[in-house]
Amino acid sequence: MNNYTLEELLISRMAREFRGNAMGVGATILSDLSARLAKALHVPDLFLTTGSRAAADCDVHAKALADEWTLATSGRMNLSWQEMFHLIAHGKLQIWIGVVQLDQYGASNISVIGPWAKPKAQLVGARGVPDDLWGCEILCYHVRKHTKCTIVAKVDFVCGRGNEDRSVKVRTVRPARPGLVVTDLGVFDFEGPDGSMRVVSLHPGVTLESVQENSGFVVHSETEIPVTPAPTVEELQLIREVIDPHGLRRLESAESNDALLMELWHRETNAPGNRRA
Amino acid sequence: MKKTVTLAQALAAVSSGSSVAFGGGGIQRKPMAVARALATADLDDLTVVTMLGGPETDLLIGAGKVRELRFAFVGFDAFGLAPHFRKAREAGSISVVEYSEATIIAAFEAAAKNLPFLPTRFGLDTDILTTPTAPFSTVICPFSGEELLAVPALCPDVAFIHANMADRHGNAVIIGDGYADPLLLQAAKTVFVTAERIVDELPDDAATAGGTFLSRLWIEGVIEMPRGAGMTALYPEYRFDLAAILEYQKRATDPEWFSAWFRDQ
Repeated sequence: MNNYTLEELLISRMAREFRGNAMGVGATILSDLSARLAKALHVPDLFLTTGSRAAADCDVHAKALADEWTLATSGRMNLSWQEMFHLIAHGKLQIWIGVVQLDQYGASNISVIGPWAKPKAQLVGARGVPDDLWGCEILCYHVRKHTKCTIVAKVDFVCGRGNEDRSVKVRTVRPARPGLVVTDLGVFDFEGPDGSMRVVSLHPGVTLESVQENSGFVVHSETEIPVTPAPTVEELQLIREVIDPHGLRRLESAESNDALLMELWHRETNAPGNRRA
Repeated sequence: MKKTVTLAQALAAVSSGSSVAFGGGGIQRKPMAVARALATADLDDLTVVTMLGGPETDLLIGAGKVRELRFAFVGFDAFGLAPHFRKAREAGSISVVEYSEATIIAAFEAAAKNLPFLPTRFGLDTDILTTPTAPFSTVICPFSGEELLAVPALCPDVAFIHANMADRHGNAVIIGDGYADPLLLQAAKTVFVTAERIVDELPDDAATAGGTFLSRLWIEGVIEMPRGAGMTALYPEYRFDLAAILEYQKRATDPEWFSAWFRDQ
């Protein structure tokens, strides 16, 4: 029995990818927490913008549902969206993106399931993924539930490009490569044959068979597969006491539901000093 | 020149077939009071333009007012998908033009600069270029020969932005995240700003200095609209109303509930 949860393992693992002197963004709750953990632990000059551009380059704060209210006091600048994309164009963004579909060669999709003209399921639209592609060195992905519906042979709509058609057009500026992928089963990269998905590590108790059963293609694997490293005592203490004392990470766990969300919301809005609105 | 107007005066700038843009993003600082008024107005066939659509866009789609949507995202941020947007797309009942964030920003910036288009790399080699309604083309850089994406200017007929405060001259300030609003302000043909309160002169304080300033030279009129962002958040005045947002998501596609919701509030 581990003395940590899956969510804590993922936060710790994702935090290890951030480097300094650039924006560190996590577009899911767990990856947002991982950027904060990285800044608290080993990348003090990481530039946090998650929550609000108006409170950009803020200190490490406890994650809240209405983040703007807790971050604003330490934000060093009001970053306009125009300047944010200038920073991206200059390679100053590192990001974990939450995606709905990710394919064998690292193409990603958050826009639609099925044909775009009349989708089977309309999701949120391409948002900033086609933009992050042209500035970031790599795009890292957080996939909450590893299934045949999320880890697929081919995405229905390309928001972020993968390795499959890299030979089609050689451009002056290279787009981002697909980087690491963290799911509830393991950690993956795209260093397999022809830039395909490869197992980097499996979480404790997860077998390669369960990864293959839950993927839409055969994921490349080496003979020796390490176990995803456990969070350290220091990381667990920071996660539990500093960056997520309210337990918002539970919203990306199997127990998440509207009742839990409302319980966390009431706790946040009724906290001393927070009653104003 | 005094620029305070009534909501009715502002809505008179919108007619059937107009393109109407909204500021804010997702469940942050959305002009909900304006959207509700448009939902009950005698108008249809609107083109809605928004970088990050939220309940204002969903409401107008649900009310049957939208013929076309130009967007990079429509959703309720961390709290799920937009029910009417989803339903309309899956039924094929609205036309959509899908941008990314940086390409719709480029479209606003081209309009702001009074240029026909701007080149970008953002969006290249992705499927936003392959949709049947994609507005983009490519252009060869005359200096380097590099192929770039050409994003045509987007000039909405009327833009509505909700701000914390405005003055009687028509200046306004946004304290929280400005989203694409400073560019939308300069791209739209006519701009109205709703504000929590209208004062004689904007205060000379740190919050105003650190905020996003919207100049009266771009603004046709300002409207005093307390709680103008409805169930979405306006930092630092009020948080989003999470219970109302979750209820909307569950019940919005029930015609009886939905009709009462946007007519009675």
